[in-house]
Amino acid sequence: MVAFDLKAPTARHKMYEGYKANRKGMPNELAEQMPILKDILQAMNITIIEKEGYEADDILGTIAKRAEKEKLEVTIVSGDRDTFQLTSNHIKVRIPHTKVGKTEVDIFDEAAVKEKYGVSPKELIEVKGLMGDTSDNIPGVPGIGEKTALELIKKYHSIEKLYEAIEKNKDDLKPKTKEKLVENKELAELSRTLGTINIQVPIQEKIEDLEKKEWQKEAVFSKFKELNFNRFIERFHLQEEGAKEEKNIHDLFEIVTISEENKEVLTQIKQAKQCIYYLAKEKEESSNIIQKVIKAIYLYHNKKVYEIKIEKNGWNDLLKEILEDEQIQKYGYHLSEDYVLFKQAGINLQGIYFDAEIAAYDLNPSNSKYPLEELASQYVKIDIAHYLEAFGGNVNQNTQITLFQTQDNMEVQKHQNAIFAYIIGKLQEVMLKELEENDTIELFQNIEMPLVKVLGDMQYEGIYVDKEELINYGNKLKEEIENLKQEIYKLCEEEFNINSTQQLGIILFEKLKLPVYKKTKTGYSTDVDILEKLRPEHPVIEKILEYRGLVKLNSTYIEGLLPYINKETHKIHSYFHQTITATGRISSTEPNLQNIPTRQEQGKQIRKAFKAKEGNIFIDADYSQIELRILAHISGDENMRQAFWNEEDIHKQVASKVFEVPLNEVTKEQRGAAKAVNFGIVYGISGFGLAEQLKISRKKAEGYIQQYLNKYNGVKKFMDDIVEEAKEKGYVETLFHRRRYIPELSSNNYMVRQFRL
Amino acid sequence: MNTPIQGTAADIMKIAMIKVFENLQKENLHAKIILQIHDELLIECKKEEKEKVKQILKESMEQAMKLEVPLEVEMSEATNWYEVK
Repeated sequence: MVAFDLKAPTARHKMYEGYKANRKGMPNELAEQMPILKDILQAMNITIIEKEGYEADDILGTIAKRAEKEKLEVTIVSGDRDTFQLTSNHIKVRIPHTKVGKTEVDIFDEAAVKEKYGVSPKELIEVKGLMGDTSDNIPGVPGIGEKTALELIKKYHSIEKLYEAIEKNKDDLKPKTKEKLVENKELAELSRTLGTINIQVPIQEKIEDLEKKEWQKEAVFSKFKELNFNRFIERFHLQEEGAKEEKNIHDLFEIVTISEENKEVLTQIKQAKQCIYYLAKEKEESSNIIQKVIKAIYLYHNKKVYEIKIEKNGWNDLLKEILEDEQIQKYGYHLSEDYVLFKQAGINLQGIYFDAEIAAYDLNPSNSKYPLEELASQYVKIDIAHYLEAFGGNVNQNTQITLFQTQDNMEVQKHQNAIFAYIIGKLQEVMLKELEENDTIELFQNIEMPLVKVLGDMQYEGIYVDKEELINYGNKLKEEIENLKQEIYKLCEEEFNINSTQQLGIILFEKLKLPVYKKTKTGYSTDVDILEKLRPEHPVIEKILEYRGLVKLNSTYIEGLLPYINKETHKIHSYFHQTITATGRISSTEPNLQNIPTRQEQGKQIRKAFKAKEGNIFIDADYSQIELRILAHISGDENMRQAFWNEEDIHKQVASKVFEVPLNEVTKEQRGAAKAVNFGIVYGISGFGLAEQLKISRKKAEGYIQQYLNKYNGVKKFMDDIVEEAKEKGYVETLFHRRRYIPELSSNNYMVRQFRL
Repeated sequence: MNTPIQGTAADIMKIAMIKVFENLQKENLHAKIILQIHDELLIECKKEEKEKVKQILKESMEQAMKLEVPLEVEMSEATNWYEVK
């Protein structure tokens, strides 16, 4: 059987408010996998148990102990070492983990636990009571770590006996340890309770119900096939040996190498006004904007793939003409990079019509990458690797190594490039149809495709950076960092390595005796949020925060930017991407120029090194309150529309309505609060987040939001409608029908919570 | 869940960029879009082209999409990135 946690709070949350308070929810990417996992388990006829108010560990514990009573040998597979407390002579825990890319399994039974920790499984619970558990936010006794806790339990065997000894003065504890224990007796007891796996969960399923059953082989096979788990299909013999068809690439298309004699296909492509191609590129050190060169182009036309090798400056005139002809539609993959590479080769790519990567993104923007192999299996059910087996394997798209290329390797690569061109040809048929069905075709054709060359051009153009000025500013920062360092040493009356969290922890919490909020495996936590809390406690904290800020600034934005300045153009040529964010926004990398600081003066100074060329000027154009205007438009809220039509100050108007004061009596603070509410609505922060931001109580913050929604009932209706729509359809969309799917929607209140603020 | 609003803003920005790009080309200007940061565009142009470019920016961006409330663009100029805002 397999046990799952549910999202509902458990008895432990009710006992201790902080329980697992530091846990962020499962990342979306993982949460999306859960229904798939459950489907597969079902197909395998494996029982799934989940129970409100109980954690998976409790379910495992209960089943394990019951099975043990029925004289069964029990194996628990878990990633969580908390389950060690369940081990016995008949209950083993298997912990799988990855070591150098391979899965290894550690097996623990009672003896193994004793050998590793020197205490029995049951005593481990007592140990946890004393040391706590940072991952679950179980407090433990402050100042007692694993080492001390183990020693104490080895000697006294339980928390109860330990305290008995203390009370009777029969202990031999160090005064410091004793003091900590005496002060925190309740915490120790609470932590032990929190850390104890409940083995009395009222579970209906009987042990005999859990017996291993036959899989529904067909169902498992089709699930695995869908997910491309080909190894599993083989491993579990889900496919008859004979049924495994030989895949021959030549069944798909024929490969023709074009030379001077047989280039009439180019004329055919020109006439067909359709050019489906894939570029073979190789990395090459140079002063080019993108350090890659085009080695060959593969054209797919009429069930054949044509390979044209490209020597330096060796572009066929007709091919160049085709690429530059606006009337000939280009179909490809990741075309903004092609656009720049072509430009480097003196070719101006026009007629950009279909980019498979962008099509995939417009169909579902939740992935961060869209490799052609995956698109092939998802949309046209072709397993590329399968076809390449005959040539000795699969070459990764990004690791085309140039040196020591073997003949075999080149064969694989050639066939891979050819199949990519073919796949693009197949993908466009399917994907354009799907875009049409989703009503996303206009977004794709009228916005996304024309944008490709705009983004390519931005990268090609780049932005000039005065290297010397950047270096000088870096030196200035280093000087300030040095000064801060000396001040910190002075305040701490000691020299140490500030960058070492371990050393810093010892200074702050042992030497300066500042309050300990959080501990880690290796020592004390010195995270930013912890330091922020400590700020009023000691003047050195301020300096450390400042020190860290400057170190980060220097490393990320000075040292980090310098290598990106092109030697020839003296510019930075970032990539601008249109297939990364889930909302449709453009992002930039190598380097990311969208997050150069704007707020702190010291960060903002970096922008001084970004200059217009001699005789040129920068013009900055910024949409004013575009999100709120869109909200006014989509929601149709009359009050909000009025504010924009009358060119009123929208934040002031909101303040006037939320706080029920006349417009001319709105104070600066009220306007500030209203502004935060406005942005909260647009960016979706919670009442809790708003409270933190405005430094007011959560109740008060929620009151503001409620009042806002009362006054702007168009906005309220819009928000309710969106939630409804999302539940019904499983996705939300923009005015231009850009979709975003919301996983696991109807099953819980996750999203409602996110949206209700 | 904020996709309808943030995503629409992103779409409008993309339309604006295409319009700016095309209009600059149409007018044979040397101006280039060089950065895009959320709701903001940075253009580099010759000083003497400046007024024409500003007009194109304003028109292309404000008319990127007809909404039931006006879209507004704020502009500034300088010779380095620090001083534009």
